[in-house]
Order: sequence, then structure tokens, then C-alpha cells
Amino acid sequence: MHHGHEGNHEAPQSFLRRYIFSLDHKVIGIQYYLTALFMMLVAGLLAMLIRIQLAWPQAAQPWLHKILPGLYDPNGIMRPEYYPMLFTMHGTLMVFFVMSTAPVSGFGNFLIPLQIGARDMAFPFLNMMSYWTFFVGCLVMLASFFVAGGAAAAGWTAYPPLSALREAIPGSQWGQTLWIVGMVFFIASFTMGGLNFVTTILNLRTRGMSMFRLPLTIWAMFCVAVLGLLSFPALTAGAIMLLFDRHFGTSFFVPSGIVIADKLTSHQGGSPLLWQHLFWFLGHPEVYILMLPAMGFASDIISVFARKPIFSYRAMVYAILAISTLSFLVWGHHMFVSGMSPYLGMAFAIFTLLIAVPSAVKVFNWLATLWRAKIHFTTPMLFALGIVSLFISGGLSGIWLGQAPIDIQVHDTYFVVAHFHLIMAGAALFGVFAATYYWFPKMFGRMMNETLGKLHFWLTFVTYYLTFFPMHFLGLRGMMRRIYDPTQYDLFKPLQPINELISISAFVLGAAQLIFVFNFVWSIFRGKKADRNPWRANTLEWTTESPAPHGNWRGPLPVVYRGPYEYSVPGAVEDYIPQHVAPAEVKTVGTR
Amino acid sequence: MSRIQAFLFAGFTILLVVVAVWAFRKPWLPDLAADRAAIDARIYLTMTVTGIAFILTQVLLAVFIWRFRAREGQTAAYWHDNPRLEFTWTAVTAGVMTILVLGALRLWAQVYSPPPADALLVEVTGQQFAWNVRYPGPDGVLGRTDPRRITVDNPLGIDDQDPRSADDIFLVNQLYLPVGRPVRLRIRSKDVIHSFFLPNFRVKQDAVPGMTIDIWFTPTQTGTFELACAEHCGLGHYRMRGFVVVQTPEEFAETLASLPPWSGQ
Amino acid sequence: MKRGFLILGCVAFLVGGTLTAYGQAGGTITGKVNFTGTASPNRLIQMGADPNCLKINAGKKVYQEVVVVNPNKTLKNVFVHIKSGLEGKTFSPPKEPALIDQQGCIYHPRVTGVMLGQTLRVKNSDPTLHNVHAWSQKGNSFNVAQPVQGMTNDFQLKAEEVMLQIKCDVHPWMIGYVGVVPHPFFAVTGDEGTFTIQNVPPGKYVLQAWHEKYGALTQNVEVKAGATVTVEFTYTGTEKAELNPGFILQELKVVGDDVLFRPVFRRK
Repeated sequence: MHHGHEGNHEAPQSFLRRYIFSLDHKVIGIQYYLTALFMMLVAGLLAMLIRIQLAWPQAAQPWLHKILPGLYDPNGIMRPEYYPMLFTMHGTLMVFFVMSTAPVSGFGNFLIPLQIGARDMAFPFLNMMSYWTFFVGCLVMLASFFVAGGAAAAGWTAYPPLSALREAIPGSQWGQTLWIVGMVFFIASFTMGGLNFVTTILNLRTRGMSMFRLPLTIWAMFCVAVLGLLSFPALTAGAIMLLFDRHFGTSFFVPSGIVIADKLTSHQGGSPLLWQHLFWFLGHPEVYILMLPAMGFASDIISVFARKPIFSYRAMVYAILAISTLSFLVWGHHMFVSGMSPYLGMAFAIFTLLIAVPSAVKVFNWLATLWRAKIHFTTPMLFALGIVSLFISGGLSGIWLGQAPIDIQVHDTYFVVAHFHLIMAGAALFGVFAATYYWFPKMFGRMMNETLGKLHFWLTFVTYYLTFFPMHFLGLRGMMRRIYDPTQYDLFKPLQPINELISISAFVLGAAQLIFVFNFVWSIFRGKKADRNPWRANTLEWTTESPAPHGNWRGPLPVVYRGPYEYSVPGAVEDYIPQHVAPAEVKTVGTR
Repeated sequence: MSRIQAFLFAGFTILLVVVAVWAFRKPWLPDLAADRAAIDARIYLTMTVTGIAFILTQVLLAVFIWRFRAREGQTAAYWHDNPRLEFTWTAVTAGVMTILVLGALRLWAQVYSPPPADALLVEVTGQQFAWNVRYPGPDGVLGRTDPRRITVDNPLGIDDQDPRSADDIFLVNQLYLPVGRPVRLRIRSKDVIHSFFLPNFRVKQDAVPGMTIDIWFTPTQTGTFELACAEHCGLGHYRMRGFVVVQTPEEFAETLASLPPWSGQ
Repeated sequence: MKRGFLILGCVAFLVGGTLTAYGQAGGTITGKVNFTGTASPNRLIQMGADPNCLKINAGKKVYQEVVVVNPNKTLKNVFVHIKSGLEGKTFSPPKEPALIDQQGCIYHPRVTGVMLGQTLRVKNSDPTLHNVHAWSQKGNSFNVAQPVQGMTNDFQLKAEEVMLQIKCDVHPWMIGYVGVVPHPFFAVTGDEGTFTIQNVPPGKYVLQAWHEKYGALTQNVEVKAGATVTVEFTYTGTEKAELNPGFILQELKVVGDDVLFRPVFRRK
């Protein structure tokens, strides 16, 4: 191991080098985090527009025309050609620019050196490059709303030929091109970050920090980085091929004989299914890129506030590794009815149900951690428990979807929307919140307000269930995803009260986030000052000042003597023994 | 403080379980009109299995949260693992998953088995934003199609020169089927990916340009049912709606006879 | 800056004045479009594809109006315009928009003309979704949807195009044609098969007639101030419209039941 890697860059003095083009992993992490929060605001507002439309599809709402004259006609009817842009950009921004970014690039960058005992990431300059590449990607995505034809509208999955033929939908003009460019920037950024994560975790751990003494958050970050490095290239290749199909006359994804509006196109010999394989080869590991960090946060936070070791640390690590490996073998469950060979469908069904096993192990371990615990209900703990709750509720419907014959009925319906919002989006969102409340003192040196935090949790938790749980029933009825007006079908007309309930709940969910934004900003300036270790936790980040200085520790790097979950050890005076305390210095009852 | 939070969390979780169980037991699936009751049975079986897991884990979560909330003088157990317990729950989960997947694969093979020889052949071609339906007519053979011949009058590009196409019957958004007889549908697309979805029949198959995909099933109920597109196909995706009219064999024969053949349409 | 606007205004006024003078001193082109052949019958539209369309048409049989031969052996829906001879002259577009109405799941009118700079307005008078999809080779493409009755969209077309085809993808039989020309000298034949183009500046022109099935015919005309020149076009029913100009058709191979595409190098 490489231990001489200390203070590899000096603390910068100028504002520009300190807060904008900073090389410090903590600043970069916070930059990522804040950018992702802004993107969440945008993507969340798109969701609000979607919900207004789905609850009252034919109602004239002239006030909306006043706010968004392009999107709504003068009577306040949403123009249907823009509806696909809303869900496409909501999905794209949320999945990549919010839920992959805030937990992984945000908290990953912030936490990895602090939790493994390093001064910074292995490649600070690459780290800065990574953020600014991501930033350009964000700008490109946001700019796509303003080009001719509007933003991309072929869904976040961008299935060709819809995404490949400019005439197929208005968003497939420049919007789709910018989508591809924005994604390439994002992937480049994520790749730089991933290289940095893997190198840092493998090489810069402090003395005594063996792999099996890493907090589970770091294990999750490590696996996420590997997943990203291995799976994103498939999408990069696909995206560039799609770009060529769109602009340079190739036919990777567009078959011969396609006729749009009675006009024969000149493509020949491509395969739409090829894109789906490439996309989901990334797309499924991507789901775990969102979820694994949240699982890591949940494990760490639950252990701290249960004052109890995480149950079966090794099983947790092996579960993460198993989920990561299997996540490369299940992508075809998105394609059961795509026209793919039914034999392939069988293989993917088997692997999909197999991945339920390590996922279930994680849940059981969390429950076992709570057994005979001493649970302190702080806001981060509430959100961490929320992750467990949502992970159960959303995970079980995966067992439905993994069974190919059931998928015939519920594929591309709101059942799927319910499933992935509860498990993937829910875990990631609650993970971000849990992590924010938990590490805020280390980020800004102050505590967030607990009362507002709990209010935020309860409003979010209840409305999250109220918004996404009823979608199961819409889906079982058959209501398809991505439709502008469900009332066109007699079959779905009786569902409209449910759609209204969902929408009202979604508005409360959206509004509740304002409490968080207020609490966040207010606490940066007015929050209670935090000491080094406000939660009495074991991991290394709590051994330095809050906020941590440049280089993370003023003196020498801490040395690690034990795993991160030594809580309520019998015989010890305190109910926690931090990783860096030498065995001889642990105060025990006998030596008092 | 911790009492209130524990109560709220546990209470909400129990309420969630009760409401979820109540709501899932309602008949959400549309009335079944085809021979795919096995899919429904599988849905209900999975609902039961996952329902039990849901109740068990959520209730445990609620109970633990209430029971082990922080109290004065209480200390948490120091407990790292329990290999036997872990092996048990891993093995049980794996066993349940194995049983579920075996049944699912059996059913899957059945759904995608070759169609019976006497199945009625109908071609369904998706386009933005309509379903083109074509029957082979009395000769039982579909005429040749050619994308170059596609015009507003000939959405499928049916080749008038091909003698087999003269008796083909062409319809838009209307699919007539006889009850009790297997139908073999050739699913195609002219432009982008669509998905042929009959909620009442438990039938869904993507229509992919450049591919011809055969599916089959047997309608078991007469009546009119909705046909939807389940794959986002453009700005009119939500209105790519058709109808399946299932009739008695006699009515169906009458309907087909009353429809003009392609050559006289 | 202000002075600039003033001068610009004066110039515009002068140009406008000249144009008006042109108009007043112009001649008239009139005539009709004969049809001598026999047309294949128009297909019956399957309004049953959308119950709303069926209801609006209330049992009425509606036929596709590809070829409409008037009782006096003339052709309806022929777009007649001055194809060349007006180069270098500019005309101010009409203020009022050219209107296409979607009523009974049919475009009214099926064939129309619009001057560059004039607004093309498309209205949905049906209580059902229509989308208006124009696919242009010249930058006039648009694709919008009108989900509720009474919705309208306005379009500013960018380039001359004879003809711009518009379609409703929800009702695949709905088709319309718009002649986009840089001057106001165009007309569409009606139930008498006649057309009249007024206020044409004196000069020698190529006049073109266009029909969706039988394509274009041209004639040379000379317009004198204050005079009327009569032109007759005659379609025999054997002409063919150039379909999908700009698209290169591919080599085909018959495989089994269907004509599938074999990837080939394109030949011009």
C-alpha cells in the first residue's frame, strides 16, 4: 500500500481555486451535490407537469399557458408533442444527473478519502476535470429544452427508430442530438470519477484499513465505480452509433423499409434490438449504481443510530459483490416482450430471480441489526429506515416482473413505474436525504435543524408511498406508461380518481422538498455548530474537525485498528469504539 | 421524543401493510377474455408469496422499531452474526425463488409454443398511430407487401400485382376474431417500435420494424375489447387505440363475408 | 437608429406602392383543367377506425378524394400557380392566414396554397385527436398534435415547396397538400374545374398545374396589362406524380411472401 501520499497539493488561497476550480475532493463533492440538487429541482418540476396532465388530462388551465406559453395552448391544454419531452427529460435527468450524481459523485467524492483515511482522491486534477465535464453535460441537457423541436422525446431509454429518425417525433430533431452529446459528457465524467474511486480505494487506505474494515458505504462506492467503468462503455458505443445513424447516414439501429408519414426512408440493415441490448447492458447495472450507495448509507447510519454492529458485515459485502456481478446478467428482463428470443428470456428470468437472494439478505441483515438495538430516531436514521421500508416494498414487485409470463401483462405499465420509483428512485432519494442530514455537520460544520428534518421526513415518506404505491393498481389494470391521456381508454377511465390522488400527493411531495431546501440553506449559516463527532460514530471522518480542513487531518493520518461497526461492545465505557482508537486506549469498565 | 417517532414509524408501517393487503385483493386485472388464465394464476400466486414476505418483513420492521426504541438504561446487544440463521434465510429465499422461476419458465414456454395448425392467421401492422389489420381472405394466404408501394390509399404497400392479395381484407384499428378458435397474429411495424397490447387477453408483444413476430392465443369471451399501444411511439402514442371484436364463429364468418376484399375496396 | 427606421419605412411604403400599382395594372389568367381518361375509383374511408370519426360522419360513406372528376369532365383539386417568370419581384403576403380545417376526420380543403410569409393555420373542429404532420425536404416540416376540439396551430413556412404534404398519423387516410409559393398568383380548381388568377403583372410566365395523382403539367403564358388570358390543361389519366422526390429507392429482393430489403449500394 502507498502511504506516503500526503498533502499532495497545497491549500489554495484564491476564491476561484478554492471554490470553483478546486482540487479538493470535499469541494468537488459538494459541487457535484449542489449541481445535482439543482437538476433535481428541474426534473421534479417536470414531474409536477406530468402529474397535472395525468390527473386532469382534458381540463383547460389557462394559468399554465401564462407560465409556459409554448407548452400549453391559449386555453391551457398541454400540447401533446411536448408531453414525451417531460417524461424523457424527467427520467434522464433524475436517473443520471441527480440519482447517479448526488450519492456517487457527490457523497462518494466527499466521503471516500475521509472514510479511508486519505488526504484526497488519487487524482485530484482528474477529479476536477470530471466535475466540469459533468457540468458541461448538464448545460447541454438544459440547453436542449430550447432548440428547435424541443428536448429529446423518445423516452429516457431512447429506443430507435423513434430516437433515430428526425421525422418520427419533434424531439428527435436537435433535442435528441443534444441528449446524446450530454450523455457522452456525463459518461466521460463518470468514467473519470470511477477510475479515481477505484484507484483511491485500492491504494490510498490508511494504515490498518484493510478491505474488510471499510465502511459499507465505501464498499458500495467501490462496486459502483467498477459497475460504471464496465457498463457505461456499452452505452457510449450505442450513443455514438445512434449519433451516426441520425446525422451521417449509417444504419446501426434502423432497419430497411421504414415508412414514416408515407415516406420511405433510406436506411437499411439495422436492428432496433441491438440498441436495446446495448442500452440495458448499461441500464440495469445503472439501477444498482443508484441503489448501492443508498444501501451503504443505510447500513452505516442504521448501525450508528441502532448503537449496534451491522449484522453480518461480511454477508453484506458479499451481497454487494453478488448484486454487482449479477447486475450484468439481468438486462434482458427489460426485453421479455421485445421480440427477443424466448430462450434468452428464460435465461434472464433465472438470473433476475437469483438477484433477489442477495437483495433479500441485505434486508434481513438490516432487520437483524435492529433486533435488540437501541434506536435513536434522528432525521438521518428515519430516512435510513425509510430506505429499508421502500426497499422491501419496491423489491418484492421485482419478483413479479422477473417472471417473464407476468411481465407480459405488466410490462410498460404503471406497475413498472411503481416498482422502480419505490425501489430505485426511492432508495436513491432517501439515501441522498439520509446522507445529507448525517454528513451535513462534516460538510458545513453545522447541524441541520432536526424539527424541520423530521417534518420533511414524514411528509416525504408518507406522500412517497401515497404517490407511487397506488401505481401498482393502475398497472395491473393495464394503464400504460408514457401516455398523455389515460381517459382515452374505457378500461382506464375508472382509474381517474386514483390518478388524481397520486397527483395531489405528488404535489405535496414536491412542496415538502422546499422545507429541505430551506433547512439546508438556513443551517449552512444558522445551524447549531457541530463538534467533531456529533453522532458518536466510529468511522474516520468523525475524527477530524467539522468541517474537515484541506488535507482532511491537520496532524498525521489516523491509523485504523478495527472495523467500523464496534458499537455497544460489552465492557467498554462508551457505547462506541472508533476505528482509530488503539486497543490499549479503549476505556473499559475494569480499568476505570 | 423517540417514543413518538417509533410510534409513528411503526404505526405507519402497520397501516401500510393493512391498506396494501386490502387494496391488492381488489380485482384490478381486467376481465379475462382469452385462454391465458395461467398468467392470472401466476400473478395471484406471486401476489400471495410476495404478500407474505411483505407482511412478514414490514411487520418485523415495525415491531423492532417500536420494541427497540432508545430508552433510559437500555443497552444494545453486541451481536455480529449468526451463520445458521443467515444460511437458513438465504436458503429459504433461494428455494422460493427457484420454485417461482421454474413455474414461470414452464408457463413462458407454453405461451411461446408453436401455434396450432388450425389457427386463424391475421396480420397486425403498427404504424404511427394506428393498427393495420389484414386477413388473408378465402385463399388463406396473405399477399405480398412492398414498402415502396405505400401510399395514403395503401398503408401496407399491398402488391396489387400479386394474385394472392386480391382477396385480402384490410381494416384499420378493428380486429374481428372468432371465439374459441386459436388465432395466430403476425405482429409487424412500419416505422417505430410499438407494442400490441390487449389488457383483457393478457397479450403483449412489441411490434418491431424489420421483424415479423408471431404470437397466438384463443379468445374465450365474446364482446368488444380495447387494443392499446404499450411502447412509446410518438406524440400520438396515447391514442393508438384499436378494438378487438370477438364474435361467435357464425357472426365472424358473416363479418368477414361482408367486408370488401382488397381488390374491391 | 430612429432615422434608419424612418428610411426603411419610406422604402417599404414606396415598394408597397409600386406593387399595388403592379396589381392594378395586371392581367388575369383563367382557364380550366380537363380530364379525358377514366379514373380508378376512390377508396372508401374506414371511419370505423376511430369511433369519434364514425359518429361525426353519422353513417355517411366518405370516400378518399384522390381523383375527383367533375360532371363537366374537369378535375377538381388541381393546384395552379406561376412556376417561373416572377423571379426578382417581391410581393407582400396576405395578412389573413390560409386555413385548413380538420372536420369529420378530413382536411378541408384537401389542396390549398399559401404564400411564403403568410401564416398557415390548422384548426381541429373534431372532438378527437388529430396530429398535423408535414414532412418536407425543404425545411417546412412540422409535427404537432391537437387533442381537443377547437385547437389551432399557426405555422410560418420557410421555403418554396410544391407540394408540401400534410398527414394525420392518427387517421392514416387524412392527407392534404399545400402549395408554398413566393407570390400570391395561385389557385385551386373546384367543382367546375376552373381557376382564375388575378392582378398578374404583365410578362411571360410558365404556368404549372399539379395534381396529386397525375403530377404536373406546364404551359407558357403571356399576360398583358388589363387583359385576360385563357389557358387549358388536359390530363389524360396516364400521367404519374413523382412520388417522394428526394428519396432514392432501394434495390429490392423478393423473399417469400414479402418484399424485403437487401442491403445494397445505391445506384443513382
